[in-house]
Amino acid sequence: MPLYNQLKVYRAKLGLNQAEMGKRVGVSRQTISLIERGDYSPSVSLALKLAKECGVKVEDIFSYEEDGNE
Amino acid sequence: MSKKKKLLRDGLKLLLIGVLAYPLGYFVGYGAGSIGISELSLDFIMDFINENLIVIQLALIVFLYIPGVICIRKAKRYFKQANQMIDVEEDIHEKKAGTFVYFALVFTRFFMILFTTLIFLSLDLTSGNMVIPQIIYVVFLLLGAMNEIIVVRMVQTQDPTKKGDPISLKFNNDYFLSLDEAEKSKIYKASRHTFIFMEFALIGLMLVAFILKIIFDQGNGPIIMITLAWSLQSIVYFYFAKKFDS
Repeated sequence: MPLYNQLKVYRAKLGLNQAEMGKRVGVSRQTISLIERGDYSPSVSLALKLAKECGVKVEDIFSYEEDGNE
Repeated sequence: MSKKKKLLRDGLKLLLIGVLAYPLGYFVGYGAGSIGISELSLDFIMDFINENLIVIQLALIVFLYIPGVICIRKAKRYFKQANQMIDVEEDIHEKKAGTFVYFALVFTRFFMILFTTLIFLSLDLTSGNMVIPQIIYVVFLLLGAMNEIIVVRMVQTQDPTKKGDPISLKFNNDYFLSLDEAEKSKIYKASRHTFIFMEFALIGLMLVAFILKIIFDQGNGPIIMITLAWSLQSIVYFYFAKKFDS
């Protein structure tokens, strides 16, 4: 089942680029790019770190269905 | 399905594979011998290598070493362009650089494997003709190793979080530990596919070794070497499987 995410939206709200977001959560810019494109599903700990940086819950960023279909 | 029935079905499947594989092996081996190709020899390959050693070395340099160097230069150029981009979301140059890094490593790896195999196949320490090929071998093996180091340093310059001294024996471990989870996941996947492929490849190579023995009279050496490689892979696998189980 594909994992959808709103990471790009929340990152844009914070005014961070992929490299800066990656630095904050301890991964490379490429990994942030992979997550945003849906090509990589992060581990629980990375998902929690991302949610914490964005100031939201994990399920606000990641979901099994696209926004609007829920 | 009950456990007994399942076991019986698996047993029958294995028996069927065995029944089908045995005649094939018989035909390839004893069958081939009986129809008169048991006198085929691989000596002509060795003669060709020995007579054209320097030419083959030069061909490997032209077709594998030099393309590797070209890829490194192109990767360097694309990394430079990627660093000049204002919009860091735009990673087209970085992707191109990554592709050239990949091909630089592929060319260099195959260059070193084939260059080393070639010199070991033709090595005759009593022959004076071997001096120049040996010098070429040592010089270009070092240059090949330098290419790998240059690639690692280039990647580390681009991404300072990547650790490890490429000259150190601990490099692979240190480098791996400095990767993030997505990068590690790629390596896990590549390793898993390599292991699964090698399990089949070793069976195939054993068959080839058997053919070499029966048809080309190459003795038991290849069979013993493949047995060693197969056993070693299995031992290492079972060791780590047990280690990570606990």
